[in-house]
This record gives sequence, structure tokens and C-alpha cells, in this order.
Amino acid sequence: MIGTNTLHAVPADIEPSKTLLRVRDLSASFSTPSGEVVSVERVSFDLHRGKTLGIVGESGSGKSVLGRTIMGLTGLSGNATVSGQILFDGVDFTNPDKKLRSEFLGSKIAMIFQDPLSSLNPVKLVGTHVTETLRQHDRSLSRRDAKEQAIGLLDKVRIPDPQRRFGQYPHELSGGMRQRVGIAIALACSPQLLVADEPTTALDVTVQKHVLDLLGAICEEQGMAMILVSHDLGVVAGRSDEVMVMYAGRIQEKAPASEFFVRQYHPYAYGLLASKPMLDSPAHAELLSITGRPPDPTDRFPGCRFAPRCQNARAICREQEPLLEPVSDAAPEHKAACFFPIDGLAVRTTVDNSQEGAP
Amino acid sequence: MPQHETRRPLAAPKTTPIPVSFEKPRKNFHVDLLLWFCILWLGAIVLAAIFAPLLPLAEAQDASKTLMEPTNQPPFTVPGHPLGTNGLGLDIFARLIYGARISLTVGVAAVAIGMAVGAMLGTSAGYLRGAWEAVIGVLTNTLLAVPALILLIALSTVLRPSVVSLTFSLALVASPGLIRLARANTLAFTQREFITVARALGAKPGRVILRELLPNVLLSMMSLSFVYISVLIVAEASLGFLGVGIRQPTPSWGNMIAEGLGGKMEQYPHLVFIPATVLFLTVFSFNLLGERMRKRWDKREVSL
Repeated sequence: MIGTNTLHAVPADIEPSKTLLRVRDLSASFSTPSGEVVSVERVSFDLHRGKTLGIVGESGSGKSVLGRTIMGLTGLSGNATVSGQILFDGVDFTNPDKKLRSEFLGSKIAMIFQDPLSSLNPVKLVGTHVTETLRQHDRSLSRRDAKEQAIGLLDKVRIPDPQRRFGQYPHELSGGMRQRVGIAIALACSPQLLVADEPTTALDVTVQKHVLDLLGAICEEQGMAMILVSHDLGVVAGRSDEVMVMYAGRIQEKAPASEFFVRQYHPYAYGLLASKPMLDSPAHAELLSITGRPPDPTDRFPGCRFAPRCQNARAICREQEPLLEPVSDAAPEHKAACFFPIDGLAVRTTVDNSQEGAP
Repeated sequence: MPQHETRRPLAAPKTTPIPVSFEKPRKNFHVDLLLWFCILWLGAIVLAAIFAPLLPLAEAQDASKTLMEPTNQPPFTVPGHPLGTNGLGLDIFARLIYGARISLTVGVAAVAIGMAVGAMLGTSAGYLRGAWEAVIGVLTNTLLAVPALILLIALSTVLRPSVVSLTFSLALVASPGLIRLARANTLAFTQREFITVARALGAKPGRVILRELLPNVLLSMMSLSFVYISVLIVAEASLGFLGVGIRQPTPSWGNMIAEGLGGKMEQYPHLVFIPATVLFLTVFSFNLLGERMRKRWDKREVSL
């Protein structure tokens, strides 16, 4: 029903050249034996070409499902329902059929998975993974040309000695190298959008930085847009243009990265940042923690999802759902879904001062 | 404070340099003698079984040709019969080799059939799920519920004992375990992203099963299959011993051991010990080989 009709209904004020991905009211739910699990709820955002969007949230916040839904992978499991709209470059990609999906995946949208060892087929050569992708989208490509291109790609993701690596199996490579192979596969057909689902979670901290830097450099080189999903604020900081905080399937705060790391309006977003130790915080300062745990995803209580854990919650928070709206007129791009937004910057400053003032 | 004195030894005194060898570290020359013995033994048995008709062996089956031969001769006593003769004067060495033909053919063929059936049914059940998986599950559990030997004896009363019928009966015994293994592995592999991606790119179930799942699943089934070969060789020998397997005069290791029944073993222990030793060594070799293969191939999964 959302097919071609809505295509014409796209408002004319949106420049098609600028917005690559347009997500409106996207929800994804799974029917499980213990009830309906709504993993993503009414998520809307735009992603411009060449920009990076960081999605942060704790486990179970729906960030990975959001990434997979954008890839059209959620529909693969029979018990999932996806509603809302995903427009990729003007094409409705909400519930893609087989043909559309196989045409788009790899060539226009590509994904990097969390665990490179589990995403690669253990009995296939590293090179075969890459050539397979190349030949999937260009049937006329000869084996030799594909091999040449694949070695070029492995070289591009800075895998030393790509000739030799081409003929090795995934288990013969280190974790970082494997993730580079994953990146090479994703890059094979120069996609316009890269969805990186916790690309560095399975890696060492030292390797993490290399892989993230590589991703950033390649995105910049190719003018590729990226959705960087992570539970680690440090991964997203400095590598994204915009940050989105998810909690229990909803977007709680959305802001340009430069803005977000200075000032948070949503108590949850503030709590996330305050729980990280800062270099300039006083010694022995106690880290803030958010009490409680995320709500049961099958429990659809009314109001704000964060209300049960929120210190500022009042009656209205448990009755009405706050909308994602700009908090101050000064920064219209900085939105938070909260009735009683706090000013993270101000709170932190007072906390710091009181701690410094204490003997 | 004599602190500087305690520190003195740290200030690089005269030390003899640690001899550092820049040669490549020697490869581990520890040869796995046991493994090589097993490989040699199996190789010899297999070759002998294949080329049995070409070998200069004494009579193994037709007792009418051995009327003049001495009977029940222990090994190394009669020229021309290296391992002695049985009650009918048939050459034990020749009978062992012809018995190997049957034991190995039956064991290997049954496992091959079991592998094919197990891989196809197990992988499809694990990947397609739903009603198909339920059907396969009931089938597998039913077969597992019946004790193997009783199932085989029951089958042998219905089917005329021949190499073919025995092979299929044994394949039926081997299948459930292999189906289960294939299904369990498929369930694990299906969770992994390369399967998700193949599906997302429009690969049909047939292609996913054949191209993505089977190579992975077969690898893990391979090492189990060697263990199964040895189990089935023993099962075949048990049937032969019980008289419901391959019938005399065709020799099989099982019915050769059964020749010692009825008090003959006390008098002529070689009738039983020789085939039993051969059976033991063969089963041991298959088991050891399977074990070593598992160790070697499990490295692929080591960092999972």
C-alpha cells in the first residue's frame, strides 16, 4: 500500500539530491511467544549524502534492529512487521521485495556486521567473498577481472599483502583483518550508504581505532553516507555529523554531534554521558549511573519509556508520550523527546563546581 | 642509607650474552607414530581388500577345494597358510582379506549413505524449520529410540542377508545421529550473517543449503563419520557373530569369530583371536583417525 503512490506524495521542498535516506515513522515489531516485541517505534530521520549518523543506545534499545530494517533484512524473519516509510534516494525501500532488495543491497546500501568471523563463511576463501559480491552485481565481470578488483579492494582497506590474503580462509586472519575484509566486501560495489552495525565491538581497543579511522577515511574519500551503530559513545564521538540516542525503541534525543557532546537535554542522554569518566573531571569523582534497567520490551506501558527510571518524571510522563521536538529556538536541530528537558551543560557545571568546592 | 648499593646490580654488570640463535626454530620432528601406524594399517587393509582377487591367496570360500588341506592349523605351521586354516581347511589369511572386503564395503558404504541422507535431511530440516523439521525430528527420535542391534536383527529377519541389504540396514542405524548433527550445525550456521546476506540477496533455499550450508556442515560431519565407520564395522561383525549377518561360506570378520563357538575356541584359539585382533586394529585405526581429524579441523572454529 505504501508502494508507488506515496512516491509521488514526497513533498517537493526536499531536494532529492541532498537527502539520501528519509525515514518516517518507522516501526519494527516481532511477534514472539511471550508477546509482541516492538523493537523500533516511530523513528523518523533524514540522512544527507556523505554524512555520518551515529546511533547510540544500550543493548536492546533497538539500534541494531533499526539498522537491519533500513537494510531490509528484518522482513527476512517471518515473525516481523515493519511499518512506516523508508525512502532511499526517492525509492520506497520499506518492505522491499526480493528483486528490489537484491538490486539495492551491496550496490547501493551495504552493511558491516558486528562479528567479522561469524559474518564470513568459514569454508570460503577471503577472496571469494569479495569476488562473489562483485560478480553478483556485474554478471559480465570475468573471474580474472573480479580477482584483480578484489585484490585492489583488499589493498584499499589496508590489508598488507593482499595477494596472499586473497587465497586464505577467514580463520587464518586476525580479528582486525577480518573486519577489514568485511569492509572490503561492503565497499565492493561503491554503495551510497553504509550501515555499520557495531563494527568494532568484537575487536581490541587498539584495533578499533584503526578500523574506525579507516571507515571514516573511506567514507570521506567516496562521499559515502554512513550509519554508525554503537553502544559506545566514544566510537560515535568525533566520527559522526549527527547523533541519535535510542532507548527502548524510541529516539530520545537527536542533535548535531558538535552540539550533542556539549549539551544534552534528555535525562537519559545526559546520564549516558555522565556515566563516562572524563579526563578533566576531578580525581575520585563518583560516576553517575542510571538506576534501574530498561523496560521489558513486551510491556507496552503508556507515556515516556524512560519515565520509570527518570528522576524528573512527573504524572504527565507516565500518561503521555513526549514528542521529539526542538528544545530551544536557538538550536532547532537539537531535538529531545522529553516534557521536562534538563540542560546537561548547566547540570554538569554545577555538579563539577560543588565537587570541587567540597573539601 | 645503602640504597645505591642495593641498586648496583641493576646497573648492567658484566653479563655473558644470552646465546640467541637466529636459525629458524626447528620444526617439531615428533612423529605421531601411532597415527602413522593406523594409516598404514588401514591402507594395507584397503589395498588388500581391493586387489584380493589378484593376490596369490589360498582358497577362502569353497570347502570342496580344500578337502586335502589340513584343518584347524595354527598360524606359521603349514607352508602356504601363513595364518593357519579353519575347520574346513580354508585359509584364514585369505578369509580375513575377503572378510575385509565385506566389512569395509558395508561400513564405508553405509556411512556414505548415512552422510548423504543425514546432510540433506538434517540441513533442510534445520534451515527450513516448520512442519518439515517436525517430521524429520519425529523420524529421527523414533529411530534413536530403538536399540541399534535389535533393529538390525529385526531387519535381517525380514530382508535376505546380503551386502546390499546389510548396507542399507546399517545406514538406517547411522542416519539419525548424522541427521541430528547436521541439523544442530545448520541451526548454528543459519544464525550467522553470511546466510542472512545470501538470503537478502535473493538466494533460494536450495542454493543456500547447497552452496553456503552444506560445505560447512559436511566438514563437521566428516570426523564423526570415521567414528561411525568403526561403529558399523563392529555392528556388522556382531551380526555375523549372531548368525544374522553375512552367511557362511562367504567370510566376514563377524562370522569368522563365530567359528570359534561350540567349544572350538578352547582348542583352537587362533580361530577367534586372529579375526578379533584384525577387527580391533581396524576399529581402533578408524577411531584414532576420526579423532585426529576432529582435532585438526576444529581449529577453524577455535576462536568462535
